[in-house]
Order: sequence, then C-alpha cells, then structure tokens
Amino acid sequence: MIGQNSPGGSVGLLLLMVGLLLFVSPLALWWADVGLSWHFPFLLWLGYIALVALTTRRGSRHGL
Amino acid sequence: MVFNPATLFLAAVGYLCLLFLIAHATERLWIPASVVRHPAVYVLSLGVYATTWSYYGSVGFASSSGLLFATIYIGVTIAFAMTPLLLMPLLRLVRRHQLTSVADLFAFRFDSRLAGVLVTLMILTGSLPYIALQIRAVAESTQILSTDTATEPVAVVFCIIVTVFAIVFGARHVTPREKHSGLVAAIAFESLVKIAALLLVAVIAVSMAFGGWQGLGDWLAANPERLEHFMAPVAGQEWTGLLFLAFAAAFLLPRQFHMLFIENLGDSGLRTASWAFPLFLLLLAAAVPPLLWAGQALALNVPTDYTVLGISQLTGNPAIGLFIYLGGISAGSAMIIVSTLALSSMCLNHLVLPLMRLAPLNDLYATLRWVRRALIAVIIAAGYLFYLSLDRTEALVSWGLIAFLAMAQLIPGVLAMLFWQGATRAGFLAGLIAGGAIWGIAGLFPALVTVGPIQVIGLDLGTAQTAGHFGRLAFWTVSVNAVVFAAVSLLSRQDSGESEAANACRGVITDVPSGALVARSPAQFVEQLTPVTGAPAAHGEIVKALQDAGLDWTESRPDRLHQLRDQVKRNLSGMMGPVLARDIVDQCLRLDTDHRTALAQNVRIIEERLERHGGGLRGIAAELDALRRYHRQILEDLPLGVVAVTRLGRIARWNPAVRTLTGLGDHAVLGRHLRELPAPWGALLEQFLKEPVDQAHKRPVSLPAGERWLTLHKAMIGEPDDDENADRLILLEDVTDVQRLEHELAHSERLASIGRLAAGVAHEIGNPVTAIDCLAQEWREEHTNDDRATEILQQTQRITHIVQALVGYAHAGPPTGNGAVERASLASAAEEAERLVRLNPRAKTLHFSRDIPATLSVLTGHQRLVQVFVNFYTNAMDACEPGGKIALSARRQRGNAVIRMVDDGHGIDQAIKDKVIEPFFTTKAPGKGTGLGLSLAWAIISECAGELSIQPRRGRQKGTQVVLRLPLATETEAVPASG
Repeated sequence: MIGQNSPGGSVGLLLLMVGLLLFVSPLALWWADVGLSWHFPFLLWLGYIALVALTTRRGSRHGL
Repeated sequence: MVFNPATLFLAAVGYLCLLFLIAHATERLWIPASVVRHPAVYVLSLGVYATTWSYYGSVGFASSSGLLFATIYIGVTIAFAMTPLLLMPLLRLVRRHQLTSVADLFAFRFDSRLAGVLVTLMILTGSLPYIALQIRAVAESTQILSTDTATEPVAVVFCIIVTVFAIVFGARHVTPREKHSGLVAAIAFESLVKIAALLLVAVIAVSMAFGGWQGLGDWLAANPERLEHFMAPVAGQEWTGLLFLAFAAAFLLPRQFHMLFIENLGDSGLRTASWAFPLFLLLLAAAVPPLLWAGQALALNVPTDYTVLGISQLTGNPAIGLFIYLGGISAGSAMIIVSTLALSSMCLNHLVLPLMRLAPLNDLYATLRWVRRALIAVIIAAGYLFYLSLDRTEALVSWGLIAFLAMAQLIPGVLAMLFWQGATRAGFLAGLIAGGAIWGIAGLFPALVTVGPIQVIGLDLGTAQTAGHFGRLAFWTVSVNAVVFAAVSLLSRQDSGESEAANACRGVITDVPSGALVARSPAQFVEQLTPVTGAPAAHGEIVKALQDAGLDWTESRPDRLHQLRDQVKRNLSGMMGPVLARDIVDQCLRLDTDHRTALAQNVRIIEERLERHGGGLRGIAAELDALRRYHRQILEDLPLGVVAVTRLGRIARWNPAVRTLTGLGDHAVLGRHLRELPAPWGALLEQFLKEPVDQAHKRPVSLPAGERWLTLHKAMIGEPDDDENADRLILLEDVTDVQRLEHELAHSERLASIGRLAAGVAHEIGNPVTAIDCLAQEWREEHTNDDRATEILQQTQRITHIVQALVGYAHAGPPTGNGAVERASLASAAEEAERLVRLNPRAKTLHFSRDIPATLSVLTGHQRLVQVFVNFYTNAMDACEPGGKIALSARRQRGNAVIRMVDDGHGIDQAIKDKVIEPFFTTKAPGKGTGLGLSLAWAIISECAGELSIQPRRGRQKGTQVVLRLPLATETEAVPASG
C-alpha cells in the first residue's frame, strides 16, 4: 500500500498543498478580490487539473 | 411553453427504457468490451456525483452564494488530486478484502459490528434527505413544465420507475462485489446527457440574454456589483467548510464509494479519473455562472433553482424543453439508483443479516437477492417520506448539504485508517457518536422540524439552513469528532483483532495461519459450511473460492487449505460484510488451535507476502529482507538438492537443484506430504528419514532416463535435542557421474589385466607355433609336391601375426615389433580372407561376391590386412541367415582406397554401433565370441591411418554396411618386409 512515505504519497501530499494554496490560502482571497474576469477561477481550476494530469501520467510511468 | 403531463411522463418513461436498453445491451455483450471497459466510461459513471442539486440547484446556489457553489466541485478536485495518497490505498484495501461499502470498511478496520451498524445508520439517515432532494427536483421540474400538475403523484410514479430499474439492474447479482457493467454503462450515458443538456442550455441562455459571450462581458462590465457578489464568498468562513464537505463527499457518499471502488476495473481507471473526473465537474460548473446571469438578465419567472427550465421554456422549442427536462431525470434517477444499491448492501450486511438467525437455507443466494431488492424499495420509499416531511421552502442545496455533513463525520476515521495505526475502536465510536449527535441536532433536526432560532456557540439550531450554517457546522462537528476520537484512542487500547485489522489496512499482514484446519479437503469445507449457508451456497462458495485461489478439489496441503479458507472469508465478506463473514468462517471452518503449526509450513505464505510488500520495507526491515533474500539465494544456487520437511512430513522447501533432479516443480510439491510424491522420490525420502543414519551413500534410483546414484544427507532444523518437533533437512547429491567414472576405471583396470594375460598367453603360444612352423618347413622340403605343408606354413604364419597383433595391442605399441611397412594388395588379401572363411561350414550356405581392382594396394602387412578382412567376414557371416549375401568391393577415391563390405544380415543397432570396436564387447552368446575381432581390426586400421565406419544399411534394406578407408600406397612406397 502506498503510504505517506512513498513517492506516490509525496506527490499526493504536494498536490494537496498546491490545491490548498490556490483555493484556501490568502492567494484565493487575492484572486477573488482584484477584479479579474469571472472565468479566472475556472482557468485556475483547469490549470490545477492539468497539473494533476501531468503528475499522474509521470507517476503511472514510474509505477506509482 | 407548457407541456402536457402525459407527454412528460411518456418522455421520462421512454428515457428510462432507453437506459434499460443500454444496460441490457451491455450485459448481453452487444456493446464491445473495449467500449464498456474504456476508462472514459468509468469516469463518466462517476458523474453520478452531479445530481439534480448540480443540474438545477447550482444556479440557485450561485444566485444566493456566488462562487460558493463551485466549492462542491473544487473540494472533489482536491480529493481526486490526492489519489496516490488517499483513493488508491482505499481502492487496494477494498479490493484486497472484498469490502463493498463504507460501513464494511469501518467494520473491518475497527473489527467491530457496532462500527458497521453506526456508520450504516449515519449514512442511511444522511442519504435520505439527498434522495428526497432528487424526488423533489423531478416533481417540481415536472410541475414547472406542466404548470397545474400536482407534485406528489409525479413523485410516486418516479419512485416506482426508479425502484424497478434499481432492482432489475442493481440487484441482479447476489453480491455487490460482482461488477454491474450494464448499470455503469447506463450511468455513464446519463452523465453524458446531463452535461450535454447543461452546456446546451448555457449556450442558448447566453445567446438569448446577451447575444453572445461578448455581450455577457459587456453586461458584467455594466453591472460590476454582480461580479463582486459572485466573487465575495471566497473570503467568507463557509468557503473552507464547504470545500471540506465536498472533499469528504467525493469518496464517502454511498454512490461515489460504489462507483469509485466497487465498480472499478483497475488502478489505471482511477488514475485517469484523478484528473478526468474533475475536468467533467469543471465543465459542469463552468456552465452555471452564464446560466445565472442570463436568468437574471432575462428576469425569468421561475425559482432560481430551476433557471435551466425557465430558459428552455423561453426558447419555445419543445425538443429543447424535453431534452433539458430529461437531463434532470438523468441526474435524479442515477443518484437514486446507485445510492440505493449501495445503501441496500450496507443495510443488508450491517442491519438485517445480524438480526437474521443463521439457519440452513435452501437457497441463500436467492434469499439475499430478495432481501436486497426489498431494501431498495424500502429505502426509496423512506426517501419519499423524507420528501413529504422536509421543509420545501429551503433551497435544494440545503438538503444535499445535510448528506455531505453526515459523510464528513467519517473523515477522521478514514484518516486514522490510512495513517494512524494506534486508533482504537472505542475512539472511533466515541468520535462518531459525538460528531453525529451534533449533526443530528444542528443539521438534520432543523430540516425536519421548523422551530424558532436557537443560538448555540454561533450555530442556529433552528431554521437557518443556509450554506454558511453548514460551513460552520462542518467545522464544529468534525472538530469535536476528531478531538473525541483522538482522546479516547489515546486512553484506550486495541485488542488483537483491531491490531491485526489496523496492520491489514496499512498493507502489513502479520498473522500467519496457526493451528490445523479441521477440514482436510475442499469437500469437507462444503460439509462444514452447509449447516449455516445451506448446501447450494456452500458448494457455490467453495467452487468460487477454489477458482479465485487457483486450486482444485483434490487439494489437501494445509497451507493451501488455509489459503482457501481466507478466500472463502473474503468472498463471504463481499456478500455479507467482513464481520459476519469472519463469524461464519470461524464458526464453520474451525481451526484446531492446540495443534502446533511449524514455521516451515508457513514459509511459502510468509515469503509470498514479503515478495509482495518487500518494496515498501524501510530501515532495519529492509535490511533483514535483503539478508533473507541472500540466504534464500544461497539455498537456491546450491548445486545440491535441498528438501526441507516439516515434522509432519510435509515439504516446505524444494530448491532448483532438486527440481532439476526430480523433474518436479515446487508448485506441485510444496506443502505435500512426502508419501504423495511420485515414485521413486516419495519412498526414497520417507525411507531415508526413518533410517537411523545421517548419510546414505550411492543409493541407486531407477528413473525413466536411466539409473542414477544419489548420496543423501539429513539434519535437524532447530533445536537438536527436540527430535520430536524438529523439522528435517535432506540434501541430495547426484553422484551418478562419479559412479560411472569408477565403473569405467574398474573396467579399464580389468582390460589391462586381460591385456597382460593375453600377452603372456601369446608368448606361450608363440613357442609351439614356431615349432610347428619349423616342422612344416621340414615337411615341405622333404615332400616338395605336398601343398598341405604350404597350407600349414601359411596358417602358422597367420597365427604368428595374430599373436604379434594381440601382444602389440596389449602393449599399445607397434604390432609388428620391427617397424617394417609392407605393401599389400587389397584384392589378394581379400581373396585369401574369403578363401579362409569359406573353410567354415556356414560359408557354404552364403553367397560371396568380390569386386576389388587388382591395382589397389595399401601400406600394411598382407597378413594383417587378411586379418582385418577375416574379422569383417566372420561378423558378416554370423549376422546372415542361410542364403544371405556378402559383397566386398573397393574403389579409389582421392588417394584412398574405399572398401565396402555389405551384408543382408540382421543389421547393427544404432545404440551399440560405437561400442563394437571396444575390446571384449560382443552381442554374441557366451562362448560364441570374444569381443576382440573388431577391436583388433580397428587397431590395425588405425595403425595405418585408416578410418572405419559401421552403419545399418540405408533405407529399407536390412543388413550392415562396413566402410573402410585406407590410404593407398604409391608405386615408390613399396618397402620390402625385413624378414
């Protein structure tokens, strides 16, 4: 089983941190406050999904 | 645009019939497996997450709470991003232990029936408002499209249709662990319909309200307060709380758990889903803001929850209206079907079966199937009662958040399951009860009973069912739950069952089978299970377990039977839940715990586990594993056969050397009793173990490939003084080559002795022959006309040559002794040889032919050449039947004389053709031949650099062909004999 000490676990933890940074941290307050376009949160979300897809593809190549 | 209720009814029924057709076609394999098993189908089936709440309610939610509606999807995205850390370990745990629901998971981890019951009650209670939400949305959407229709009858009809579908395609199998490919395909199709309908209506809405996307931008620029209101909730307290609720719901909602883990076909599907499913949700969510603002711009006359229906009505196009309506039917029906399927399994395993007496049933499978079907109907009926009871003035979202909040109470347990081995059953139950109580009082109760505001620590326990309320409630309930869980866990202790389950959840299985199984065969397993499950189910389960474990009905090895028992337990767990399965197996397939189990018996199981998990070992454990591999490799590479035998006579190790020696693979041998080994191995090893000696030298063993000789050694494994309980080690040394060398050495020594004897005999014969020769010469001188003296002289000369050849052969020196080389005519020697052999009476019955050119001569003595021909003629005559033919011919070829003698006798065996030139080798009866003829001939031939080949005749001709190749003598090579 992949645990928190395994490479796969580290990737999962890293992605959690990035997700929290983008959507729960003061960074989220900033992008919601600066008057960006309405679709900016969705583009940010799309970028996060792309990051997950990229790490998943790399991880599956390494058998994680 | 107003629809006739009958039209909507027929459209909904027609749509659900289409789903029936898709599910049926999938199960009948009319749709190619490559399509059904494609990861995209799995990802779309996860779209069951998006219910009528997402389809209708999100716009209403966005209207009241702006971007807060997106938390329900972003939370799921974060959960799926943690696939390697969270979802993949859960998937493997569920798969390995055949767990079929969230309740199974907790009952297994905390080894507690009560945990299963509480989790089931919590999830069931939390899910009913959610099911009610779907019924309400379908009923209200029907009412909106057909103005004066009453909602209750629509709700009843919808419930009945969905119940039938869930029963037909959700409860076909007796156990939820069997994949519902038809259901998955139908749900995936529903997801496609949902997203297509929502995106279509979003495009239409923007076009109608703003004339395009540019118009939307302009409208937002002209109304900046709209965008500010939309973005404002990100800074609110509820933002994080709802993200957390969605995170929990992503995999703990019963329908999500079922589709994500139970219907999963492999790791790759989940890996794809980790990004593809959030992408699906993103598309779904991205349609909401345009719909919201289009609805506001168009000032629709429908509740904001049903903006999509209002826009479809505004188009005036019935086809679009129906399509949008069917999207809502899709969302509602998919949620109810999958949720009730999962809930029925949970209720069956944790609420119904523990209350049923485990008595023999004629058909357990049919009983379980019908109970599940009844539970599906009851759960949907309960959802309908909730629909009647809940306050319908609340937004759709509020009912959904009640369920999300219930699932969030399980998050501390899930984290403990994966990351905290010390968490205890008491802690989990205490935390769940504490968090669940707050959820019931502050989340569920206010939705059922409308009372005035009751303020407790900032929470309104009265009527305020807002998103903010649930966001705050998420914090308080889960915090209290986690703190109580941790505190009680630290103050309590795990029992052995919990500890074992905690290890299993981390992939560390420490238990090895101890004690002997009372059942000694799969057939006895059936007998022992029958009193509880009934004979058909007992037989069916054993057949399935044998198939899953790769065993057969003849299996009797204890470790394999333990493996079969574990497989039965896993399979029953998939059907009845882990606790009941364990109870049944412990009760029926009993272990004799007084029976000491040798470590050697479990070596295979331990090694398999270490091989499976070896990569995950760290520190000292990894070093010990490396040491284990090194020692095992020594045994594997040892050129001696190694057999470890338990004290009960069962084989625990069988290394490659013994595999090669015996031809028996370790899979066929390990775990078997010595006496079960095929002959001669079983008897050999068993007998040797009984003997009071530690070694047995050169023991002959008859094998199909020939006889072999083995030296056997044995030793105790373990305490030397405890002979009774010690395992044994047998080493098998193949000494066949040594034995053969010794035989050959003895044979050579015997030949040397015979050679010395022959030389002595020849010397003794030489003297009388010389005397006879002298007398014959005198006789010839006295009787000049008497040819008999000449004949005697020729024969004595021949005897002299034979004796000289024999002496030469024995001394391995030149046979002539004087180094003289004669030039001999082949034709002349052959003629003389034939003349001599014709003296034998047998020759009169044979036909001789000779074709040798007179010009062919070779460098060897005439008499020696005659000797060669005589020996060949003698063998040919012995081989031929009366009337047989012997032909001798010769021809010149590249400086050699190729002499060929062909007979039509019985021929020569291929197996012995290389041995006939060995001294004393003969196939003739004792006393008929010495075995020296051909060896002497070969000695003469090799002396003059000749070659000899003896072969059976080619084709169907019988007989032997002797081909002799001798270097021809040139004219100048004539060397006269020196006396």
